[in-house]
Amino acid sequence: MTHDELVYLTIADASELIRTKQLSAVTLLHAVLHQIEAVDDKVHAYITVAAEEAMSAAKAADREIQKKSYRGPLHGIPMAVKDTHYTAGIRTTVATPILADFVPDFDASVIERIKDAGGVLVGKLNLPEFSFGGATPGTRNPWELSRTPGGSSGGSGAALAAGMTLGATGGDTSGSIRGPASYCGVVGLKPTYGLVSRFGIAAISHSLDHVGPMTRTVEDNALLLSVLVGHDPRDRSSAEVPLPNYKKAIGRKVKGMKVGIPAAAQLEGCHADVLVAFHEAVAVYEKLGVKIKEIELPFMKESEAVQRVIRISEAASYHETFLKHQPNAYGPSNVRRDVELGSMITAVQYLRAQKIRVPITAAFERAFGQLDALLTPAEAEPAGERRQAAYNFLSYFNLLGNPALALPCGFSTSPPGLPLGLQIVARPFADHITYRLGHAYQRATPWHQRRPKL
Amino acid sequence: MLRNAPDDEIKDLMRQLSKVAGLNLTEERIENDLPQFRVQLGWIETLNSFHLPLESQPSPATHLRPGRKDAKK
Repeated sequence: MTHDELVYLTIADASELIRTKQLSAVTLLHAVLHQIEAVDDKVHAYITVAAEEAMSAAKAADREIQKKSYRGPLHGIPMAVKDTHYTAGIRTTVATPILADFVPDFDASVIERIKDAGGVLVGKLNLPEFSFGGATPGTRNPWELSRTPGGSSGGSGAALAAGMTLGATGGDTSGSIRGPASYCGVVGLKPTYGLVSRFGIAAISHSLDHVGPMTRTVEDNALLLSVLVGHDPRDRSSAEVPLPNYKKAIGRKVKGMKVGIPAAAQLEGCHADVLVAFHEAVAVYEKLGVKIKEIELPFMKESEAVQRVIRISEAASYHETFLKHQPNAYGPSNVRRDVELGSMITAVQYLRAQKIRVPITAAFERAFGQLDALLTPAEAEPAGERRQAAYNFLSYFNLLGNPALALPCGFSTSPPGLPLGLQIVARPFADHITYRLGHAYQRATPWHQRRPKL
Repeated sequence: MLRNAPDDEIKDLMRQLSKVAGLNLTEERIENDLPQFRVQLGWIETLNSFHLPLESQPSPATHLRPGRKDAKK
């Protein structure tokens, strides 16, 4: 197997090779570390590469597998995580000078789960300061190095696209998993709110934050989500619900499913290439026997104001101590400005926003009706192009909490060669439906198989 | 609309609100934050124009669960 073939293995394929001892975790890790050395000086996806710790974990994985103690599909697989996730003994900077030397003494829940599953933690991925923003300063889009990978999980998206990890995690408050997935041509799930524990993860906004898997294929995403999910009493918002088998959703037929798309007027302002790719994706689903219905998404304009007021108020609460005791320690970003202003939102204004959230959610449920899922564009433009869309299809679903999967659906022509993303939304706790539809799409299209030239 | 008020009026608002919030922003910070504060006032106006019945309740971020007898203290 060539170096490129190794570093671009899917988790599904790599795990089978490792399980059957045709590939060792150490060999795979060596290839990933070599890829990081070769390309990360151009992409700058990593804040911290924990090569020694990763090698110990890879050797331990190989020993266990030799002794027939195979833990499952993540055993021996190189993984990287957004640098908001606490990792015991490894610095967690949240990309802020305030926490530049912070080394947690415990793991975030998702880190515990990755380690229990035998995943090999390679390092911590870049983000904008405190996850604020739709760009990731310092990190470049592997498809076009002069352009942004998006944000805030930009390091995660870029690392996956550039073959510097097989799986990653991200955080999504206003689209921060799905935006980078869209811009970098990879797959990212914002799960149902509460499905994946937020314990041990630096917050922006507790009622809008979601943590989720990022991968190069939908099948891999299902494998990774299966590891990350589960009730966690340490996270007060953690859902205690029966969990579907996400892997079983892969390969299920989609013929006869009912899927909505936004009314044409709501797509106004989307980049021309995004609209073409979106409508071509809809045509793919129609060919697969899916029934498409146009619906109007309610209160899209109001939802933006609601989401922003909630987000910035809750963020100000998280930052209260930093603002009072270390206000001059923030980096050169807009975080300090935003949380200063969030501190000026009154309790009554914040609660009004939380009250409005309820009828918006109810109206969406009525509009969704008997549908199985909804398709929308993910980002409304290719990376780095000016945003002109009338509505934001990403943050809307942070407000509602529905699961939303972004996956590649084509490449731009003007400018040429930039990934475009599709979003699949399902009912709360029906994350497996996004996988069923997403995998069917990837079986019918080649977009997820393309690689940037680095 | 408040978001279109003159700079002096908005800055005075920001001084008072930041005092209440325990921040005591400098004039430099107020100057820096002013444009975004106007944007924020626009969001508040949007929220204020949304009709809510008296019985409205905020969306809960957490839900109570039945307690367990064997729950760890």
